[in-house]
Amino acid sequence: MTERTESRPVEVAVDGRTRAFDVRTDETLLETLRDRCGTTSVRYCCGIGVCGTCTVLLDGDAVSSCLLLTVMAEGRQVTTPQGLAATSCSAISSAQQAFVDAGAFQCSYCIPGMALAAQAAIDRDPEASVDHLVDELAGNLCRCGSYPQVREALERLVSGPTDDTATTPEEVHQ
Amino acid sequence: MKFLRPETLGEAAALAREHEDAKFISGGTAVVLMLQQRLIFPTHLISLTGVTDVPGWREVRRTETGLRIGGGVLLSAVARSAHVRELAPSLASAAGVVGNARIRNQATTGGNVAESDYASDPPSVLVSLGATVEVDDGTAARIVPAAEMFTDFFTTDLRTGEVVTAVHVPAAGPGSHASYTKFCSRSAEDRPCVGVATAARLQDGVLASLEVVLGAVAAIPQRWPEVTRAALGRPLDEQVAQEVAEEYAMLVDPIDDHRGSAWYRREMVRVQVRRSLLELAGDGGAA
Amino acid sequence: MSPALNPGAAPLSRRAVGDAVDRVRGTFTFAVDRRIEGTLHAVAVRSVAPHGRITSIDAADALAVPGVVAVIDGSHVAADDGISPWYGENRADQPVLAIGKVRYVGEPVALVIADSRATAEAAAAQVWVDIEELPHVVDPVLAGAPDAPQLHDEWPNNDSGTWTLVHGDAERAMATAAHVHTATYTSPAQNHVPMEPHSATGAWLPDGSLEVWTGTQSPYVVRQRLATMFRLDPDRVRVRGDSLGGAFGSKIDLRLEGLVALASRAVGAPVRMELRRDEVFQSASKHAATVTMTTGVDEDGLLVARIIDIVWNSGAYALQTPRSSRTGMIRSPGPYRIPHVLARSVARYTNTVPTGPFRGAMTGQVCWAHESAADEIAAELGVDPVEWRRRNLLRDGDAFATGDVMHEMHYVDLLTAVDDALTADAPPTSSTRTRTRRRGRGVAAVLKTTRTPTRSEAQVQVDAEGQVAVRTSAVEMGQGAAASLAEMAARRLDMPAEDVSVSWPDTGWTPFDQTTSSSRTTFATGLAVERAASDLRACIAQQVAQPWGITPDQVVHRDGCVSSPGDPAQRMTYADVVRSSGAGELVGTGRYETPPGAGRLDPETSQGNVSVHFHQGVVGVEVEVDTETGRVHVLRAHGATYAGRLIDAERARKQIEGGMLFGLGQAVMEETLYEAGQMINPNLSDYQIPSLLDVPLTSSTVLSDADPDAEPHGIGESTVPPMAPAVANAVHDAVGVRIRDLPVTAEKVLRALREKQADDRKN
Ligand SMILES: Cc1cc2nc3c(=O)[nH]c(=O)nc-3n(C[C@H](O)[C@H](O)[C@H](O)COP(=O)(O)OP(=O)(O)OC[C@H]3O[C@@H](n4cnc5c(N)ncnc54)[C@H](O)[C@@H]3O)c2cc1C
Ligand code: FES
Ligand code: FES
Repeated sequence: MTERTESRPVEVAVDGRTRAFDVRTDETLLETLRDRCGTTSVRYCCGIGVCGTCTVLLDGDAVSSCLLLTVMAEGRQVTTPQGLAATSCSAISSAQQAFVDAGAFQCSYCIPGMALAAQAAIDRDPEASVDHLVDELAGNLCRCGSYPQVREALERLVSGPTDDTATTPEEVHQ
Repeated sequence: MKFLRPETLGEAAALAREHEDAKFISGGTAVVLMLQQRLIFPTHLISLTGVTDVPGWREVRRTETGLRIGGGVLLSAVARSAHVRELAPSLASAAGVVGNARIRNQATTGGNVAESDYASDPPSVLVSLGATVEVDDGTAARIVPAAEMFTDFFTTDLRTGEVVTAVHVPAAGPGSHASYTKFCSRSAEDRPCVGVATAARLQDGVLASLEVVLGAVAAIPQRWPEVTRAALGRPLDEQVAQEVAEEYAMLVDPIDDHRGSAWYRREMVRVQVRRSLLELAGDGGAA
Repeated sequence: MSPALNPGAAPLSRRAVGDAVDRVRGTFTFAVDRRIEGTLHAVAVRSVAPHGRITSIDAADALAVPGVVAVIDGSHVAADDGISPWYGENRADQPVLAIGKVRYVGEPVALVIADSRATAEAAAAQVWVDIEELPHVVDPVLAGAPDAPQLHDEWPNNDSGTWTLVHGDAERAMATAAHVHTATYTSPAQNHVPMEPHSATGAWLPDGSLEVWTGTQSPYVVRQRLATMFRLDPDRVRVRGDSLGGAFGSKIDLRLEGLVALASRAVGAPVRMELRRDEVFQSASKHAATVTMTTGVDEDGLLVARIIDIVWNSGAYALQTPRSSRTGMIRSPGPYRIPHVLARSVARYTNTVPTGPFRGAMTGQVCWAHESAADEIAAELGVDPVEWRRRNLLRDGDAFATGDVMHEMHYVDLLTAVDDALTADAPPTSSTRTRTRRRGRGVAAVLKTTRTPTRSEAQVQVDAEGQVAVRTSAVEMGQGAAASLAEMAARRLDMPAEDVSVSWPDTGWTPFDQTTSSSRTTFATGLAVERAASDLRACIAQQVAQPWGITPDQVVHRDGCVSSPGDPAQRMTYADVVRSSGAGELVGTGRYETPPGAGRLDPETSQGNVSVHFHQGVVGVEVEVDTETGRVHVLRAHGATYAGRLIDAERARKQIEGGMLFGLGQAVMEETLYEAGQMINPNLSDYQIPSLLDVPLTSSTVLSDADPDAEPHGIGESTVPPMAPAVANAVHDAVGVRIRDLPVTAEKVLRALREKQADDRKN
């Protein structure tokens, strides 16, 4: 086993842009996004699909990028939390806005993955109940205990935008 | 490690036969986890996601006898499928409680069966429903009853090169009721400590058939047909529930792990089997 | 990519208020996101034996892996005169890499340095380490036996700290007590599980100085340790920190910094390390503890004496244990008025993961004991447990077990707030009983001292663009430190907090701060910032007062501008003031230091002034117990704490309620398990933490002091320790069984129920 694992060229659409990589066959999408794309919103925590800090959307559905080899994402659409609203005209998505409005974060390490999962769930089922969203997000863990505010964010998301606190693009710092 | 993406079942099977240390990969939730933890060292990964010649690979279809769920169907799709919810609701609920939403969006029906993980939800349900597994090695297909598919911890009846192409589930007939209970002993996000799959058919107020299958308590799904047979001809009531639960608790030889000792699992078998059967009774089964 | 190493560069800073969008989108960055160009990667080869002598390390196969640059081990370290490899807060008993001997599974034995992490990881599996195993011990009680395996030759009997507290004459008073209660309470090792793993990058600069980027809670402690380890003047070590994705005590003191410095020294390039989750589990642990508590009360149920014996498991190395085990002992009598207290504490080395502070450090273990005991005593006396506490809780003027005369005591009000919240909207317990589900309520209180003595320094400056920057070495890790510090400075300067930036810690630029732990930041660092801001305000006023012909205290500050009260024409922005001053910037400085003598305790009796503040917390919960499965569901939880001067109610609420949820895991599901000397559940599947579906409804009460000059109190930990005993007390209330061994798992509850049923049948 003194050989390095094999590499292989792949093309993956990340946040709407087709990217070509030469990746190790055992490289996870999490590694590719963090180490090759500099994506900070996709994060390592458990590495075994339990926590959800590495959540990305694969063709619109939330998956764990730590359990996905990059070669498996060949030809597919990957959406990261920071790219979620990239294709729309607002700076952040409605689920992200709900998290901002609810102040749903402490350290915030877990939050981008949660907001992304919430967005995917509500996009799939715009009539989803709060309980359904809670089920969908139950596999996104938070050690700071921001859960009460997360629940509040989900309630806001279900009841729709209530006021004019929508964030303008200027407030986004890269 | 080479990553191969054959386009036909025949090719996939041939590759598997050609390379001794090759491994199929579908959703990858089990395979990638084991790769990361350096538990497996395959020389080749053979992806099944590019296979185009298996009919209904990614579809749930109604058949004359019930359902055919393609090997490539995601567990989230099984949980959501209107067909599954109508004809095999206990399978829909088991698929809907596997891991978390992300796992269900990635894991496939074929992968779940082939993995034969003891701490898994769907296998016991498949057994309880009398499901059969369609396997194909590119040259010949065969049908394996779910009850014979799982042979040991992480071991199945699959032979080299065989792919799980579909799972067939007989439709629930009139008077049929089925349930799946996932009991978790720690966090709600845990894998099952004990899973109980039940299926019953009532005719004229008495049990015409009864299946009770335990998951996560031993290497493979556990059932004692002699116990459930003894309940036939009787109404599904508190007493039957109690008796079956007691017998199962006595007969089971449970494992010990982080989710519970053998003692605790046995106790939970007693409680959960009784509760599951009463739930069935409440579901319309009560005499 | 961030800037390459740049010794001259000023510290990075960011706006702390108004960062919500970045945090939710994920563009807010953490220590683990810091990447420096040209960096190599190191992965540790770790011991697979709990205790043994290293007989050989063969790195030839690893070195043959393409991309591997070097492999170093303890023998290289020991042979290097430039390194003094042993470290520890109180005793230098821990080697940066194992030298000659390993003492726990997971101990770093060698470092593989390669061009990528994946390569280093793969090669690390090919470093062949031979270990001659020695007998091992994981139980601290057994570690005290005369024939127990000895971990450190220099520290006999595996002793890593022995202390006593003597207040009055507890043994004599106990003999006079009307009623005596004794029980033993145990709590296991648990893991902090910060979501962000540890990471660090180290580099030696051409001038021979050392620079380290690291996710640490204590930059200045790290600087000191590195200076000692590499025999450098502390000024030649620059430690640069960043925001943390949670820490909870796991990122205090030296973690990866020594390893990356070592690796970088070996290869002459910057080296980065990032831990896998199993390595996080193998890096730090909460102290397991066994606490035996004997309590005497008089006929009225008033406490007369308490005798406490504590055995702590310090793991394989001491780190802070020799000091912190005493701190835990001091808190062990609980927040009660007890005339006579005797506490004896011993910490013992074992072949397990080294321990460290854990949110609510050294308090959860003793609070578990005194609050479980409180309910047991009340039950034996036939008194309501809330009422029993009300009678015995500390009030102003009472003496604590250290002899401190207490002030600002709010326990009774906190308890009342919790009790009211619990009884307010729920039906009485009896009416909610069904056949297999029973509800119960429980409360628990805690007293925590804060780090004393302590010191913090701060600078607040404004430049010619009017940019106001707070410079401290406090670490933002989710507790909202940066936002609180920005607000505290902004209020003193009468300007919007959104316009104030806060520095990342950088010992090259930011002033001294002891550590970000012990709930001390808003208090100690915050007071230093306020003083620095006031100093800057005075400095600004000084600049304009004379030209305007008024005195500095007549100058009006508003919205980042100064003006003269009588003359509307006389108005300048802070930027104008800086420009007209001719200086590039105006700087205010401030510092906070605990009063001289504070924290000094008698070595034998632990009497003295132990702490400048006493953190006070009370938690109440309602649970539902399934009597057939033993499953405990916490339905709701109310936390109450005293905040002194409150800086921000919303952040306080998150700390209080988040603290309870952190405590929930310890109460019902968390435990690191060992088999044959090896931790068997170092992952988030086998070691579980609470999810969104496990958490109760939470609510909170913050009592505060409206006086603008009052000191803020730390609140980040006060609701963590009481959670477990509150749950156990509620379980007892619901089903009548008492669990004295954490966590309160379903299986333990069911076993206890079965035993109780058997007993009930006998009687
Ligand atoms: C965090 C986490 C939590 C989990 N929790 C649960 C839970 O609560 N309940 C539960 O039931 N399960 C749980 N699982 C297990 C999960 O259900 C399985 O990992 C999953 O079903 C496997 O499907 P896959 O498509 O991802 O398989 P893969 O990982 O792709 O493959 C699994 C195995 O099957 C083989 N294989 C794959 N597809 C086929 C095929 N069509 N034909 C033949 N062989 C094939 C592979 O070679 C491999 O041996 C959990 C897993 C994770 C990671
Ligand atoms: S890091 Fe992927 S789920 Fe935790
Ligand atoms: S906010 Fe820190 S982990 Fe969730």
